[in-house]
Amino acid sequence: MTEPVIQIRNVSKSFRNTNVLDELDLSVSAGETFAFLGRNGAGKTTTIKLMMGLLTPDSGELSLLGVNPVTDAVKLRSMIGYLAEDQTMYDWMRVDEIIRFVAPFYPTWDQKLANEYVKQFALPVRTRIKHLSKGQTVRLGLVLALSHRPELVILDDPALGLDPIMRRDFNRDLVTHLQAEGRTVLYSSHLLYEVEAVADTVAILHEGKIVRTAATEDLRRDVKRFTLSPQDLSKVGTQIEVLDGRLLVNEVSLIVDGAPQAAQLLEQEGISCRISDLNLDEIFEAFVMGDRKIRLEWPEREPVAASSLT
Amino acid sequence: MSIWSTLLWKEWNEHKWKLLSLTVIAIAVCIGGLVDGVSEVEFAVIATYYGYVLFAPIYIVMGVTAGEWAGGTIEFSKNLPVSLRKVATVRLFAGWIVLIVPVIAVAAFSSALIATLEWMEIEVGIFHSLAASMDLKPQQAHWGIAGIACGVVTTLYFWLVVACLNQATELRAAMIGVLTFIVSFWFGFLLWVMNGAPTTQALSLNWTIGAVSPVYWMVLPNLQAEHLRRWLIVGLQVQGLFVVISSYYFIRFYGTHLRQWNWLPRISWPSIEQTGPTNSLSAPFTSQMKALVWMQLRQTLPLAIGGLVIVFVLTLMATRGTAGAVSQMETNPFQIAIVSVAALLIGSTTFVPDFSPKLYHFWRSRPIPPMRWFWLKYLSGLFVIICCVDLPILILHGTGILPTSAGLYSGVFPMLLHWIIYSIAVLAACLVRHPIYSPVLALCAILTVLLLPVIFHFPDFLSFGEMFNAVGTNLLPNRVIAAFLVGLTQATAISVTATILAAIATKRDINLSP
Amino acid sequence: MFVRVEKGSAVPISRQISDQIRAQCLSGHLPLGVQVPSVRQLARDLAVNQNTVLRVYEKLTAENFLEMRHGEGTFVASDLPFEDLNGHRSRFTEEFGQVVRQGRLLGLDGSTMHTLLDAALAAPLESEDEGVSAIENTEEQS
Repeated sequence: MTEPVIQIRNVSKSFRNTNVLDELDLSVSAGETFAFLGRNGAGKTTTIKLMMGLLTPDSGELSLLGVNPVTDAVKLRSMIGYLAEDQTMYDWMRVDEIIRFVAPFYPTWDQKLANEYVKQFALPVRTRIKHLSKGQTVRLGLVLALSHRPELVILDDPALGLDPIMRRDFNRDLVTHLQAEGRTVLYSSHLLYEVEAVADTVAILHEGKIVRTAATEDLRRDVKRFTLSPQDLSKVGTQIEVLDGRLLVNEVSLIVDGAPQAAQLLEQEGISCRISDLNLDEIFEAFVMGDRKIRLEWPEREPVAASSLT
Repeated sequence: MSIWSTLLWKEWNEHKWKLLSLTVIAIAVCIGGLVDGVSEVEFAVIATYYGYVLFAPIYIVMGVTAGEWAGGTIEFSKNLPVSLRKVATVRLFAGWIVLIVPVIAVAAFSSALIATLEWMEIEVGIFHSLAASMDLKPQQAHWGIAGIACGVVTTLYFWLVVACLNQATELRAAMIGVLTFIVSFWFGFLLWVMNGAPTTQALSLNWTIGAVSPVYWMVLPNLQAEHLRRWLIVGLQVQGLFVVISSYYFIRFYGTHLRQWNWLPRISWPSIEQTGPTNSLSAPFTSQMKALVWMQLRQTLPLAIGGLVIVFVLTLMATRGTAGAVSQMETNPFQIAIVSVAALLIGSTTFVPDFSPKLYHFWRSRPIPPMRWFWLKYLSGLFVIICCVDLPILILHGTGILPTSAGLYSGVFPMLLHWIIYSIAVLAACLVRHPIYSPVLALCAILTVLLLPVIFHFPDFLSFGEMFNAVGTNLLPNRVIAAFLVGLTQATAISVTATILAAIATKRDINLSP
Repeated sequence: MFVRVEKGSAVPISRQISDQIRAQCLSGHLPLGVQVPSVRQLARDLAVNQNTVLRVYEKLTAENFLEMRHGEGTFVASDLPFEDLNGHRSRFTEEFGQVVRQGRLLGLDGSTMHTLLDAALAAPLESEDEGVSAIENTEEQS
């Protein structure tokens, strides 16, 4: 196992009295496409600013590509490709001018590659940035983020403001230009169904903590909806981790993390239930909005021996 | 009714801090002028109005005309279910009221002071003698002069509002404002010179076109009651017509279309030469320094051109104006003051845009060394002020094109003053990062630094103003040199401190939103 | 090869792709031994993570639907596990029954459903399930 490309340990950050990040842990390994999900205000942008060395953590350690962003920010920034959320560039520069301007700051800048991207993205070279459309601006941001062939690319909600066609094209660019070349990508988004198609790993950030990290496929396998009758509810013990519980007319719908084990457990107990798949939106909602209180109201039961689960 | 009150509420929120800061600054300056002796009240008041006329109209107008374009809220305002003209009407008059209130506040303050002095039977300076010659009570003369100040400020405001309408940024509006201001001042002098004694027609023209010159009349000993009355009667009629016409223009065209500076790119060197096919990129800059220098050149070029235009107009003004009654006693301070305003605005407005959260985030997240960025930007702004404005003026003085009485040392002093002003403005911009608050803070800081030693009678070697005076007077040569050296030391100390603090502030990410 | 991915569906993307390829192999839409698009190509066309496509191909190879030949590409296996077809068919029968039950609940009678079925059969294959979702991502690859 090689050293992770992004390693964040116990990072906390607060502004005035608000705790934005609370002992955050995060690790992204090389070549991975890592989706960073969270509601607005969950701390995504703060985390990314910390990674870029724009903020200093109150406590904890960060390391990207083996470089500490607190002490070596300028060096690190030249190694990372970064596209900010709703990135604003000098609007009086033309497309060719901003590329010309930014290039010397990156030792590994490849002007030929930049030229290829510009052609591929059909960017109007002699147009001022203020006259570009939203999609063109994002693409220009990508040219600036990718033309130095960075090992690590950080994209903060790049799909924001793009229409469905542009989003699909963007995902395609991501797949062909970054994944195909084995780059590590950290990608934050609020459009979950867009993320699912491209991400290897998904991390859900909620109230300054990562509440779940998993391979996209595993998350889909692990989090499912169990529908059972209210009578059986009392038989379910605390062994099952319920993210969201809802009482319907004559059945109970539970969103459960650790679905395979839970299914096994219910089968052992002889409880019949219907298991259905969830889409990523529903999974996300269960994690960040889920009503877990229903679990507390259940009668305690002797936990099933842990060995029986394996 | 509720539409108007909502619009008023919006303007009030946009303007309340400006109103407060202007009022506080104006009264503070007035109080500052009183420290030498309470009976000097007329001096304090006129000095306050003088400074106020120079700074406040441009400051308010740049927000009124360009604020919504620069902030990107114009589209929002356009889409409100209200006619844009209503928005414009409220905006226009709210700005005007904000401009007038501090004048009245100063007048009320000094009026109360005069009343107290009269009650204590203390002689009140020129107001009293002026009032005697004009057959007016001191209070009447006092309010009459406040009325002139209001009139001048109003005229300037409506001129500037028309001239600066629909500019994309506050900096552009401010630059056009400075030029309009100078031209108006110049016309005032020309008219005065051409007409000789102030006739009714000349006065009414003076009132409107040469908006600034009446301020100078305030200090003239030969101002007579008759003139004041004519101003108040004829002037008000002409002024009324003028206000109506410019208000109509503003309300009709506010927000309709952005005034592009499309002619600028054509003269903007060095833009990238168009080599090769139009869809491919030219070679990147070979070094980081070249890239940064190029960027600063591009950003400061319009300012440099503006600076040269200011110099040109000032020269024209002085050479055409001195033939008559206007002496260099009045044009030289005016040149220094107008360049000071320019230095303040350049210091604030070149730094503030790059500190807007998103743009700041962009360049800070690139591997651009922030210190290199800061120093280049700082030096290029300073370069514009010194090399494009101050040096040409100095050379014009030296070659005798501009009339001069002072030596080289007093010619260099304005540069030191502008250096101080510019550095403090940069510090304020880096700290506050706001197009409105940072110039205000800078102005307060500058006034504090320059006036405090005078007000509290610090030893002379701590007061830049005293050194400035010392250099201008005909002292022994070695005393002049000593004063110059002390002034140079003071300016260096203040500017370098401010700049270093600004550089530290640059690295701070103040975007508090998570 | 025609594969479509419906984003935001409860069915994971990898399963959507594998189900469609499997069905096309068994139904003969993909002839035996024919070359299928490379992992990179399919990922690009669908705008889907390459690893996802790779895993699908690996899984289908393990199930003997596809054959990955080193250096040449991926092909439909020359010997398909047709015994799986029965499984798929029985699952289809089950789903079909469910659809009919749902139709009854909605108040459709037998003849209406017959008409619907006829109409669906008459429609050309490629467009048979249009309008499933507003959010979809359809790609055609021959």
